[in-house]
Amino acid sequence: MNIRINRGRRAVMRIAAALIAVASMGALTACEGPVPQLSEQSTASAKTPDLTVDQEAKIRTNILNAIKQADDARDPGLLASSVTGPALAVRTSQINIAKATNALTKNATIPSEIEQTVIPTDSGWPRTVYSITTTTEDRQTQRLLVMTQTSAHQNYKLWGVVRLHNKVQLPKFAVPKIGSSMGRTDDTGLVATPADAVAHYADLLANGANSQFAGEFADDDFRTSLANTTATVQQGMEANKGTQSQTFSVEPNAIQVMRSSDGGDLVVAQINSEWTRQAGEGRQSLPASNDETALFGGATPTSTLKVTYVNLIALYVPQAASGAKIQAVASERQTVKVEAQ
Amino acid sequence: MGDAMTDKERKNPRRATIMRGVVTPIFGLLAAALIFLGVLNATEWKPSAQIAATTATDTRYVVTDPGMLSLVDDQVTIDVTSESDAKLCVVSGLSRDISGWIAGHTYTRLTGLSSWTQISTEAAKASGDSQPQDGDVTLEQSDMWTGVVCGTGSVHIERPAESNTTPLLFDTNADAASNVTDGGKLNITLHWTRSTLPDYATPLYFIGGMCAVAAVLCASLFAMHPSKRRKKNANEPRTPIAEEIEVTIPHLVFGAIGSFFGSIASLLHIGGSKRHRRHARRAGTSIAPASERLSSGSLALGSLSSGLQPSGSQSDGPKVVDVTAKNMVAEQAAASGSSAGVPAPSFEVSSAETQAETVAAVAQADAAADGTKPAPARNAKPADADATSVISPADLAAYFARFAAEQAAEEGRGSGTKGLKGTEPEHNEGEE
Repeated sequence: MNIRINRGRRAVMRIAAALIAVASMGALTACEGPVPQLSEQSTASAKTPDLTVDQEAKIRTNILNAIKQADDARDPGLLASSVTGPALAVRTSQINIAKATNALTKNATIPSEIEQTVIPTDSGWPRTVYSITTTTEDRQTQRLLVMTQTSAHQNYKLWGVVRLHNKVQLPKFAVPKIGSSMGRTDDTGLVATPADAVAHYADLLANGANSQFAGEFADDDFRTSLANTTATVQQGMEANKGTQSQTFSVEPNAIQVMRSSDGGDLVVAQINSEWTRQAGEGRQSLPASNDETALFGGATPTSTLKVTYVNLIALYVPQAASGAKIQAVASERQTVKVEAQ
Repeated sequence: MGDAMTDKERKNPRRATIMRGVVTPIFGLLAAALIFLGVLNATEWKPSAQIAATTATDTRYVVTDPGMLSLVDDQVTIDVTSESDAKLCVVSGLSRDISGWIAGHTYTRLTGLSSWTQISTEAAKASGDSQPQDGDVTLEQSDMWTGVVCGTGSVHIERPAESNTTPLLFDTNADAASNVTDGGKLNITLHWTRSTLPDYATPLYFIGGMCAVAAVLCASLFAMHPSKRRKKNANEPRTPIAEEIEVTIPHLVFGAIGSFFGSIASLLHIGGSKRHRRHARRAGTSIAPASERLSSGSLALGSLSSGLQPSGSQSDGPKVVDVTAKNMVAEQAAASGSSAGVPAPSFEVSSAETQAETVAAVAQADAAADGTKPAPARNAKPADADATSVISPADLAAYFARFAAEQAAEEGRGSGTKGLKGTEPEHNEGEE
């Protein structure tokens, strides 16, 4: 009996041991696998563009829709949520003129399609996006749109619109999927820092060929057109024994810089100007154009008329080593205020 | 020989008993268990393809770490429920944009998985200022995001693989100003469907298969005594090398008597396989292997180990003479029946391992060498380093004296032998 009992115990123990062994093997084998862990590389942030092309298109479309609403309503107040800076001053003036003339100037047209967009890779704020549109339906030159985002909680707004000059070549920029770097106003290694280039250009506008910086700049359509207008007005003023004077001043902090592929900077900056015309021999100085007339409205003219302009200039500042001159590639000049003094 | 056979016969049953009675069942059980576990891992215990990990947070903002959403699979589904009545928004954007948006706020990072069902979190604070400004937009209105989903109470998002690299920002109070820190409790669940599951079955199948093979081998091949397996190999047909002559076991065993038959065999130029030549060399240093070889029943004769090779084949590897393929009686009959040729010296040194005994045996064989064809011309090189290490200087001197005498005698025998010398393979001593 004892032998049988021992044998029985042994059998039970063996079976138990076998079950435990099988169970332990099962515990070892049956599982979901190791929990994946984040690698260090996946947390490293690469330098990527701030926006996708689709985002830029969406932002630009929203802005243009808001402008169109303001244009159609002849209500510059609708612009504030989408337009800022010099573009707001220019568009407000254009809409005000359109209210008087019942026609928006052709220069205000902004094509909805673009040829190229330049998206920055910078991480901070403010951020700037350049977009170059196609030509307009009436064969006007392309527009360079400058959109800025001042902080994370603000949306991109249209900061400036300049019309490209004829026969100028814009610098090349990295494709949107790669992105470009935003330049700074004190970038060195260029013919001049962007801030200095704008200041020198303002001096050139004021003094013409007599400017000490005249040698830094290549000829451009904007200066040629302005010189012609000034010469024409000068002839009339001389006939009336009147005088005229223009002043140009750089708007502080109204400057955007984008680094091109070849190392130069494409700078868009606001230069304000005032044109004071004083008629002689007791005559009245009257507005000289439809825009001025529209903006002057029903004000009483005097012998002196002061017209304020917003000039938006796009300058390409090449690298110093290139030996090239600073080139004004696009501009916009808009009368924003006409007042008798 | 008889003792060796008896030992093996006595040992074989015990070996077979152990292999078949103990080892084979162990391997068999292991094989069965592993394959069974493999089947279980492929069926019942198969890892789940559906992974759902959750966490609960109580900050206004929750941010996923880059790469966290694609931790398990490229595609992920996110279910978010908020206990607050405020608008709940989930946006997808660049890390730097998210950091800019939540500047100045304490937020919760979703850093990964602490287990297959739990999302690991970490509290963090974003640097910067959260003061609102005129013209600020809400999270939903901001155009920085590549994707925005908003709702009240709960939000369901399905993220395709191509957009899964950008992190998510959860805002439990999406309509509030940027400086508001209040946020509701948030329950976040991430669902992944694993496209590639860990395969535990195949390794188990493989190891189980190996165990099964091992069990079969233990029950058959390994249960046999090694000598039986070797004998089986020895019965395989071999290609004899006609031109090779080796010092083989007969010389060692039979001494002067055997040398007679050995020299006959050498004159017949009967070779053997490499394998047996190797054994023969070992036999030169030990008698025991020789007796074992002879006990196998194959009576080997002849085959002087010489390294003689046909001219022009010196680059070939060592040749081995199969001593088991010799029929001493037949060769002896053939030798005696043939016409006697001119006795020629037939000293050969097989290799460095050839010992003094071998030299002595061969020297005795030389005197009786009388083959059907003249022996090849040989130029023995006694200066072999290993050979001189075991042959005493006196023996060496005696050998040279005898060798010189034989050479002189050979030159005096006539042109017939000389003519044959030139046609025979050259001595290639020390080929090893």
